[in-house]
Amino acid sequence: MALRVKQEAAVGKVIEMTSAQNAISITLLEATSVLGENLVQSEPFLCFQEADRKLHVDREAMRLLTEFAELQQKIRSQQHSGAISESDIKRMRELQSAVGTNDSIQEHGLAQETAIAFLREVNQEISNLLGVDFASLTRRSGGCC
Amino acid sequence: MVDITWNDLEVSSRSVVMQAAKQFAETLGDTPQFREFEQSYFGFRQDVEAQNAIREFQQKQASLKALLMLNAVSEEDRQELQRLQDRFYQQPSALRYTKAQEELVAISQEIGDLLSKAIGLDYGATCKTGGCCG
Repeated sequence: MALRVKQEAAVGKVIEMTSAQNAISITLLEATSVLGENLVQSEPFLCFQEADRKLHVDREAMRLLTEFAELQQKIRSQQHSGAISESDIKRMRELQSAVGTNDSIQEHGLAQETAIAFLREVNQEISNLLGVDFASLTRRSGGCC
Repeated sequence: MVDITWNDLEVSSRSVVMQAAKQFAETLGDTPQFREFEQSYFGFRQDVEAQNAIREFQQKQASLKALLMLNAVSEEDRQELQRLQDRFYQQPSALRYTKAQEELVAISQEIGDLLSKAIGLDYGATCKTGGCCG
């Protein structure tokens, strides 16, 4: 009986949450859309999109990143078994150096940092006006905290 | 940096983006969910009984912190902690504030998802600073 009450309460909760989500007004949806469009059209985000496009058409950069990710994964699993191959470590150092000097990858990283810094400034502006950190309200639970 | 010249008409200047952010914040601040969140927060803060209830619960929780982490709290302390928590959650102003917060979070998450989709970055995660729980 107690379980049934709990289940009913859970169903009630789901309905309540859904109605809250549906309660977003057209005005708020429009303001969200205008903010999103302006962010995408801002210089930091346009630069980021362009850097992203350049990176994805740069075969050498993409090959480096793929090999880097695969080797990183391999070394991580070797760490668990305690048997890391010397040649893998050597190759990892070479890849790190190649990634560090590849223009497309470096430009992409820099453009991403700039876009993120700008987004944080925008969030700060919103949060200052609201008196509460808006970004923390948007996070869905999960992750380390 | 990426060497590119944008068509000025297609670029949203910093002030235009900040104006859109301001407009967005004002619109969100005007929603029934945000107003209820603010009002319930002030109500909760001014409710002496609710403030005492949360303080007593937090003090008890802090005093048992090490034992809680070790999962070594005595049955008596565990029951006392539960009783203090229940007492806090039974305060009408605390209930109202918790419900208002849940509703504001629900619409904020929806909006966050829309923004993340538009910009191609996870809005909430990207704006997080200072380590994993910052």
